Amino acid sequence: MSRTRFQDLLAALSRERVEFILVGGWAAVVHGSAHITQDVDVCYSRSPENLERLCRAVLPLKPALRGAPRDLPFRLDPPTLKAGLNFTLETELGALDLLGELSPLGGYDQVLPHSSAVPLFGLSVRVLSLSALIRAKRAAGRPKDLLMVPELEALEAMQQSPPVAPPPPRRA
Amino acid sequence: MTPPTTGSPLERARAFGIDLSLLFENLRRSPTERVRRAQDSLDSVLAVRAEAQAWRERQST
Repeated sequence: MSRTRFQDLLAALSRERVEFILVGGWAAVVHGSAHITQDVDVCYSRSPENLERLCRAVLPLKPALRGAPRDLPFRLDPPTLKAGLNFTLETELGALDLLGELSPLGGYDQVLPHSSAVPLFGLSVRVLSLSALIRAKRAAGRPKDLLMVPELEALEAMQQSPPVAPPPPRRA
Repeated sequence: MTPPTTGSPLERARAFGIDLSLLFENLRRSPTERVRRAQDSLDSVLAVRAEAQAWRERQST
């Protein structure tokens, strides 16, 4: 498995002007989560123009279907993206998950109002809002997603009314 | 393991074992700095994992 290089992945997508929204664990990190995550999850626009841009951005990274046999034929092109919805890829810059829809919000156009542009490494990157991220984690319903909810809700509360001093950590 | 459902969000997180001081410190940083530190942490985890894997392979030969 390749080492995830988050900044370079963002740069590759931005260079081709791919319309995407950062969701998942790295979005949580942007909001202040202490969670460590490997795969980069993005919700992408499924417009024909964007599928072209997405392929131009990702093809040079030698994408392969993650977890699939190495000899399984896979070709990342607009027809393939159009025929599918969600793709879990391994690339030279690490794991990249392309999500055509994000439950319970929907596709890119429905997710967009729940995102904002965040300056990251000199780029302007759309990132899913904290409240929408909490909804998505709850909707996903997997233990690994639900385990993140208390931290995300704490971050939301801290951002709404920041504590005046750091609360002391609990020690066992 | 089920997250607690009672109390304020901060109380629930603390009861769940989340170190709120880490979050507080993260919120004082810019988004870029948060991501940079997360990348450093991930790199460290992967380096340790690779070392552990190499050690296990040496042990089995």
